[in-house]
Amino acid sequence: MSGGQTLPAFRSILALRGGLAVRRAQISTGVALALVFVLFLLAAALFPAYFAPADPLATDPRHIFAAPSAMHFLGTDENGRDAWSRLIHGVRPSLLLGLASASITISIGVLLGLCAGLGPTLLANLIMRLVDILQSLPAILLALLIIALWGAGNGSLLVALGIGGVAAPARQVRAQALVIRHAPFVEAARTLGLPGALIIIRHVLPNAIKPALVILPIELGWKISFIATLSFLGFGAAPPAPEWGTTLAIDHDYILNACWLTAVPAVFITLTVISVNTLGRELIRRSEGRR
Amino acid sequence: MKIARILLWRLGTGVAVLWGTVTLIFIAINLTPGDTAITILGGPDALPTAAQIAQVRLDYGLDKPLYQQYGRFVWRIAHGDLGDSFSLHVPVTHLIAQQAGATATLTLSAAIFGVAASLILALLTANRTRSLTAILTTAELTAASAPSFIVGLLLLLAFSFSLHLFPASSTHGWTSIILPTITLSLPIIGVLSQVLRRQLEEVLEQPFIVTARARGLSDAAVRLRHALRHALIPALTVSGLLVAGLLASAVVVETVFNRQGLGRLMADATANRDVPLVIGIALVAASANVAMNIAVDLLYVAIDPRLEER
Repeated sequence: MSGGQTLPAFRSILALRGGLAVRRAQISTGVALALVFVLFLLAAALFPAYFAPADPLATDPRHIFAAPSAMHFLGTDENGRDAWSRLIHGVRPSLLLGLASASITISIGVLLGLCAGLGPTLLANLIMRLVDILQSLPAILLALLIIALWGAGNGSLLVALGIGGVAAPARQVRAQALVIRHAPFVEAARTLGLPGALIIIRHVLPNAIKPALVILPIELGWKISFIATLSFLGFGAAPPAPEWGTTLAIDHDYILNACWLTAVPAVFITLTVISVNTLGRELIRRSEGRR
Repeated sequence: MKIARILLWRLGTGVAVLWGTVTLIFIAINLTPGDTAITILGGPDALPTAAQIAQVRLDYGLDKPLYQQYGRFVWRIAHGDLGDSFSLHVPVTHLIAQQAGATATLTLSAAIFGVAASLILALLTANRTRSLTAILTTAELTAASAPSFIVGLLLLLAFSFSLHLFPASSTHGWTSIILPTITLSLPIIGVLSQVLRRQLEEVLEQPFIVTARARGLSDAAVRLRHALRHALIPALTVSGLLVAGLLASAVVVETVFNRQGLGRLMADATANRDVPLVIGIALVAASANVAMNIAVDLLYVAIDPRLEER
């Protein structure tokens, strides 16, 4: 470890950033396009008013189902609301909820993985069986089960989104922790008499966490798609909110007379998920050293 | 003999996983704040009557200590008694039996179509030009990432409302199953064909392939008779996971296409907060998942006989 005082955690974050196209100039066209689109999404999430000409909730009964025009890029919906503005204002909640639930998933996964990798055998077995059980229920069904029990709402939605997909990071962190607990530098730290908790936080965690952190963008892509799906089924944000899935659930009733209301947001959401996933895959590829 | 032992072991662990699932559901019910009887009846907003509450208390033994409640819960489910759906006033098992056929047809056709299409696609496209691979990778990424409800809506828009090739919504007739099948199988094709192609490309580099080619075998024969079986093992793991997830995707696809089935029933039951029905369908999905895993384990041995000797 030649870095001296450089914390391993800091270094792995540096490595992550380097992997995201900063360090190596060579990036493929697809990745570049995805990067541009994600940057656009980030800008739209931070300054929606700059990209959206109208208030997403302002109705205009005289101009319902207007076709796309210079004034309304994507036309207007059944209440005369500007469809493009609703789409843009939907970026922030989707990204925020996606990021929050992806972080919950990864955090729970890391915690379970560390306990399973470092804890006593009984605890480790218990946790891995729990992971088996969670994996036997598909994420959508698990989410619906939680929503049925606790009712729809932000709290149960976050739990429902967060628990699904915990298995993968838990397994990866456990595998990594099992290797690292016997690594020479951990043995050295133990010989020096460092307390166990400190060894875990300073030496094991930063090294075991990398495979879980690297899948964060892919998880984010999944969650965005998952949130839109749950909202489409009617378990997300309530109707007037400019949420993507909720809006599509209503607008697809008018698919015959206003097909643009369905088609364009559908493509936009798909592009979002694909771009985030493309960046995520590139990150995983580079972190594994493949080109 | 070995196979019998593997099967027995896998059945045992499968039952254990299901028991764990039931236990987790029991914990989740009891963790829900408020009266458990009211939780099972859909929460206070559902305004359950006093008679209903009394009935649920009796059925689930809610006046008894927790460990007895748990025993009763597991016992009832182990005997196939999933309780009554309070929104439809019919036993849950009855409802599931009624809807299972439609979903089984849909998921089975999606699984067969998805796996077959991936096999053909991978066999045809392994080790071709770089530009073709780039196009395919993009297409596969799109198929794997696009949310099912969006794929369904776009297919409906294109083929039902613009071209009028397929009916927009119905459960009857063979034409009605085509669009839902494609929607369900696209994520499978997106992931599986990629895995298969990568495996095939690796296998096609092996010395025994060169030998086969040197013996004068045609390219098609090399791919089909020598390379395919070797590429199947990792693909099998992936397809097991993907096919097991089909029941979950059916929730979305059946809603988009207005089809009958377990998925639609699940979505409606969740909206009505019909807890016994939701638990019932979730357990069916978990059992299907466990069965799928066992089937995959047996298929491993069928594909690679060396596994049996170990």
